[in-house]
Amino acid sequence: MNKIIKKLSLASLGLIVMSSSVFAHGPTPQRVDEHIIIEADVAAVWQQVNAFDQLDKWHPAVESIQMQDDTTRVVKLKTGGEITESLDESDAERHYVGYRLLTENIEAMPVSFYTIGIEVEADAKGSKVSWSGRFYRADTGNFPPENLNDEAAVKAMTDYAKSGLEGLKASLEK
Amino acid sequence: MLRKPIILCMALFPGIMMADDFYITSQASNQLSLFDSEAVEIKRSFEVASNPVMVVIDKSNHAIYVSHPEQGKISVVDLNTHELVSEIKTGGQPFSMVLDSQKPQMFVSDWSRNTLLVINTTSKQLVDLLAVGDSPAGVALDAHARKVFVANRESNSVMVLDADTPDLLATIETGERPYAVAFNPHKNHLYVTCVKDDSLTVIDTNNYQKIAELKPGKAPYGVAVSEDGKKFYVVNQNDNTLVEFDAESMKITNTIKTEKMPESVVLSADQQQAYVINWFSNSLSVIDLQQAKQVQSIPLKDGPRSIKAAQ
Repeated sequence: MNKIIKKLSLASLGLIVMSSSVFAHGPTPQRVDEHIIIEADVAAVWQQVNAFDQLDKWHPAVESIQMQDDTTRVVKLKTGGEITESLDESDAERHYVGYRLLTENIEAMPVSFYTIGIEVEADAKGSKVSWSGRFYRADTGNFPPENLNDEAAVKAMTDYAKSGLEGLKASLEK
Repeated sequence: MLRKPIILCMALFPGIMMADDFYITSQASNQLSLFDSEAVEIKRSFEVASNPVMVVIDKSNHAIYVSHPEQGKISVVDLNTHELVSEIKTGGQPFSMVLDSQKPQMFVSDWSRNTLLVINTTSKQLVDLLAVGDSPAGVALDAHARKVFVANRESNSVMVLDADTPDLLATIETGERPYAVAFNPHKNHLYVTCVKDDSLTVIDTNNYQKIAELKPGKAPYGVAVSEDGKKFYVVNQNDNTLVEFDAESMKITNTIKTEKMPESVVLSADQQQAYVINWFSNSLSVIDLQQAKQVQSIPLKDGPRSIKAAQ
């Protein structure tokens, strides 16, 4: 029996070295929660938000979109680099679209995983659009370098949501 | 032979069970909160070491164990005084914990080292490291049949280990990205939520066969089984719902709205209510299961991850 214990222990120790890049949920999930008021009716905003293949028409950080299939898009960023996102849900009644990161690219966006929801609601001035989600830092080990830590992930995801919402507003209020 | 008097003793003094208390971790704010379900309020919140994720209560040692994956350690907190007693330095990323009701030991998944840790709860020492699959998350135990179940998130499998010897009994394929597990001792079924393909794998733990693949909703997370084994409950993080399954027919019998991004679910001592913690909303949903709706919402500290009964 001791032999078995030893073998298993050694096997597990061997894995320590190579496991740091495995995407994991041990680290603290982080939150993005941004919104904007747009002077356009819900139907018009929803039409724009719901076009999963046309993010490049309104997001200023996006160069182009290439669809891999009906629910998978490759987002080419203006800073270079591509991330792949997968559509989870498009709810026309709730005016809600949900998607997740399918293939990470920590050089383009320092996160290992995210789920994002964009929702359009009626507002006195037209529409309120909220962009919210949950994500994890790029380096999920316990000693991430500064460019791959929680702060870097929060900054990147918040900036991307904010510029997206502003771009959406600009595209609808022109 | 030893077990009988203990059970009798507990039955005679039900007051000492504190069946109405629950502990909740808030990862982003380093807090542990005590929820009094009778008063329906948070009785107190106190600071623990950074980024607590999971919590279990060890009545026999008057201890609360809190895992801190990012610190590579487990805090041992006194159940009565809420003072820090000691820290178990495990290394790696200790995540989910399950206590053994038959032995002074606890099994802990270690996310980054792909191992199951065995901790002696008397000495508070790490006594074994057992190799499992990639990124083990949820852990459950069949204390009677002496089986430990581990969900290997990145291997899309559940491993069954012997609770007394370092033997691997079975490896069973699950849906994609299995996360939480719950064991139903009345049916010898294991429920495994699979976050990526929105499925729930049901495993017969007698023969280690996958017997069903259910569809609870989008991004199923926490799962809990009723005391009588007739129902089980799953929260769906991307649907903001709690679903109730009939354990016999394995059909959904109720879908109940929660708040945003529910993470974990437990049942009240009388099984009439479900308590759901909502990660995004930083809230606790009190759900009346008879009425099948949320009847109260209680604010929580930032980043709630787990809730456990103090019994």
